[in-house]
Amino acid sequence: MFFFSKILNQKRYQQKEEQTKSNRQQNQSAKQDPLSQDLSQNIEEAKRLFPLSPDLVIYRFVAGAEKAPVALLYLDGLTDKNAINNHILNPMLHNPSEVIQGMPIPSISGVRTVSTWDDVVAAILTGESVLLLEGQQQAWIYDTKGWPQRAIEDPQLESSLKGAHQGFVETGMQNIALLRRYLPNNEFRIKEQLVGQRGRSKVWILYLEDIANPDILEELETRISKVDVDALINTGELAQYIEDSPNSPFPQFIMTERPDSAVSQMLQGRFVVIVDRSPGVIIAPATFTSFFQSVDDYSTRWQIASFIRLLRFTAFMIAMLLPALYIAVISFNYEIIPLQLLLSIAESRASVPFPPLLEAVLMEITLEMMREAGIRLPAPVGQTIGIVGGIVVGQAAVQAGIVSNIMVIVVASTAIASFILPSYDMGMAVRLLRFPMMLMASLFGFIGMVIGFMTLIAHLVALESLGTPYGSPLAPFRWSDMKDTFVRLPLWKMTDRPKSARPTQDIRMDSKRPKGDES
Amino acid sequence: MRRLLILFAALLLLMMGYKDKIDIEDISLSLLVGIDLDEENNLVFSSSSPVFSKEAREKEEVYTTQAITLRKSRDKDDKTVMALTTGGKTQILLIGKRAMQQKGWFKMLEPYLRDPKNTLNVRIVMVDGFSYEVLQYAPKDKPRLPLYLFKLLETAAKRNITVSATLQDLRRATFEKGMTATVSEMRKDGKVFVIGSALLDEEGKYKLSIGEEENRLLRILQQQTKGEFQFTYKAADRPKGEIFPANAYSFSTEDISVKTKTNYADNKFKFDIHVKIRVVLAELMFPIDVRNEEKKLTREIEQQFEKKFDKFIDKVQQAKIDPIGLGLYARAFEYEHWKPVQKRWGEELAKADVNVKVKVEIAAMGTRK
Repeated sequence: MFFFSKILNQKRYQQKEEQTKSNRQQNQSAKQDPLSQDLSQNIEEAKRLFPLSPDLVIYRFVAGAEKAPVALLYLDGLTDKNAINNHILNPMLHNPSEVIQGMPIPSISGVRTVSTWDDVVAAILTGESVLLLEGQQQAWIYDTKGWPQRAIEDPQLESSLKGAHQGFVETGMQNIALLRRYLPNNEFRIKEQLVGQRGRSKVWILYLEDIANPDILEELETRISKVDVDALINTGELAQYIEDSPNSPFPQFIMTERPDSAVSQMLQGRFVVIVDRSPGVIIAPATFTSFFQSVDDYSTRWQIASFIRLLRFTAFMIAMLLPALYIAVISFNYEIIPLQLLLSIAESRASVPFPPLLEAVLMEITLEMMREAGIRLPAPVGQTIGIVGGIVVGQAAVQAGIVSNIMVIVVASTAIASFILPSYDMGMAVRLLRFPMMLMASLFGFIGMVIGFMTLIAHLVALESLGTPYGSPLAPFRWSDMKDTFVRLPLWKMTDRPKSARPTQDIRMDSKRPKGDES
Repeated sequence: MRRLLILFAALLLLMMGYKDKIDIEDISLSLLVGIDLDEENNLVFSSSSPVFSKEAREKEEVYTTQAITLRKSRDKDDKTVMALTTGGKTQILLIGKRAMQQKGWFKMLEPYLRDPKNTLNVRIVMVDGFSYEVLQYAPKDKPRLPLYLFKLLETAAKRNITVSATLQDLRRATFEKGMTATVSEMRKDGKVFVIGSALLDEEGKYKLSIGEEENRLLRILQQQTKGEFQFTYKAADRPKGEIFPANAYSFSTEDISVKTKTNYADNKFKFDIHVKIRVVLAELMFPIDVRNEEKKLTREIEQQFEKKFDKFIDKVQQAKIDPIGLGLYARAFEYEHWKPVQKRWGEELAKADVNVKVKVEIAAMGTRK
């Protein structure tokens, strides 16, 4: 029975697949038709291709001295009204000399002609306006793109004190412009690819030709070209389609909203992938330790930056292991706690009816819920979460004897530690990994923690990002990259580009640093 | 799917193996353990453990049981104690004087030496009297008894009133032929006092007690010169004073270096111990110009020191014990002579010549002339 139903299912699935495939092909072939000479026929065709589209504007008028009937087609919301009115309609209606021999010459750049419906539809859909002329088998296309846009603002997710206050926006071209501003250099290369059957997102790969490794570029291009989806809504989606180990909790690409950090990664020989309509960009290849670096590190003094780096690694350990450590200690190895602390922990634990694991999970889940709730709530209400969470839940839970007060401290420090990590994705990974660690600690104490941690290290060492080792510069060990891993040495000491990005050009700068009044 | 199953099975298998999980609140921590012999020579074990319940009024439960061994006494404790008794956090082992006077009492500590979950850092204290009496002591102006006693011992050891002997030290000294053990000594006389140290013989039996001054001398000879050494002497050639002692002076030491030289001649061992002390004057009851009469005062202190050292060494030699560890030197430097006598080292030491030479330097005299 099971076998038959399996075959049946398979058949049904195959049928469906073929159907969708032919649907897609039909959609495409229908639009390959050439334009007609007859204007009204063309307009009818346009109406047919855009059914139920009240935002399609078809403006018919006569232009020039010859009073040629023309029609201008565009989508209302996607176009720049000013450009259309001032630079297309105004000259055509009031300056007959601007139309010579049926060739409209508006004062607008980016004019081209097309002759198939396919191109016309694509142009209209991307916000360009199309001019159709009576008796012409081609259409003029004007670049009048102007969709609703957000201003360039401070990035939300990665705020920085000393870095630039410009974050990426939802328009790919603007994002490229933001990057170009940093690197006015003709080694700056942009490769365009189209991804998505319906959405047709433009995806750009940006890199510096003389630094970036061509093998990695090829790998990246191949992977992106193999993505076959309806549409890409976000960069995060693309990352999931192209990353090496989709089942790993660790992010294998850096995702940033900051042009300055993207540029600094490009200068190290990495690639930046921009997806149109998404404010985040992908930086690849990434290493584990690169998630602990932030732009601010490079603009503060090196001692302070190093201290903060070390703090982040410590915070990573705390955020992942502290609840587990608590469980392991109080149910297996109480001997290692100093006596006075032991007495106060035990006193506080004595009124808790749950085993340590349940106590910890209860509190951690509460914390995660408050954190998520805090994100969803509007800002003025969001602050209440802090009060409700911190005071009401924390204090009351202890008084009610549901959790011990040491547990509240553990949870609070874990939460603080996980906020220190500059990368949101890495923070998420840590938040998740905390739970298996807690389980291991509850089952086997320290041994469980050690096994869990070793498994994690093994996994990190085995991971790859675009075929380059994720554990670098720790495994494979690269001494020269250590200058910018746990500590950040003075900038003039970092004369080479990091080897983990496998750049083709190693030397970053001359190591001589002019010192004040030295001439 | 199969990988998941394997993982699950592995986890299940591992879970079979674990069983030493006890939550902290289910543990009855024997923080103080007492071992005694009562008048009829019955072994009496007592233990004190903290109570974590908020409802309990007394925060300490003390149990005293008769049993044949320490481990057996745990059985009896578990019959009445709320939680499971463990020795992983024991702070102090109190051993009654009567028990310590018997040969082989050390065997009673087997559970601490054999079970790795039990601590080896437990302090060993001889109680002049019965240890269960100390365990009953519940002062109102002090923290929990175990914490209080531990702190008391620790600070006393810092001032070198007593030695700081852990089970580890005791074990070493007991099995070591070249030295005999020393443990702290306490007495309960209304309050609990640290008296000084108790010296044991080669079989581990209690031999003699020393007070704080002798304890300091012992620590210097053992080359354990950490912490503060404070001495108050009376000058021999000064008038005594009527009510207030006019001849007393005190000093503490800043830097002590001890060098022991070993020789063998005339069928006996000879130890020359050179002690160099830098002293800081703390009180001086008689007028003396330290700057001009420094030498006189220095000689005075040296002589006092040497006299005390000689007296102390005499005492030790008469008791035929070696708390200083001179046997270690004998073995290291005069092995062929040490080897035949190693089993009766105490007697051999009693015959030996032990000379202590003290060299004092006044490092500071304070802010007064």
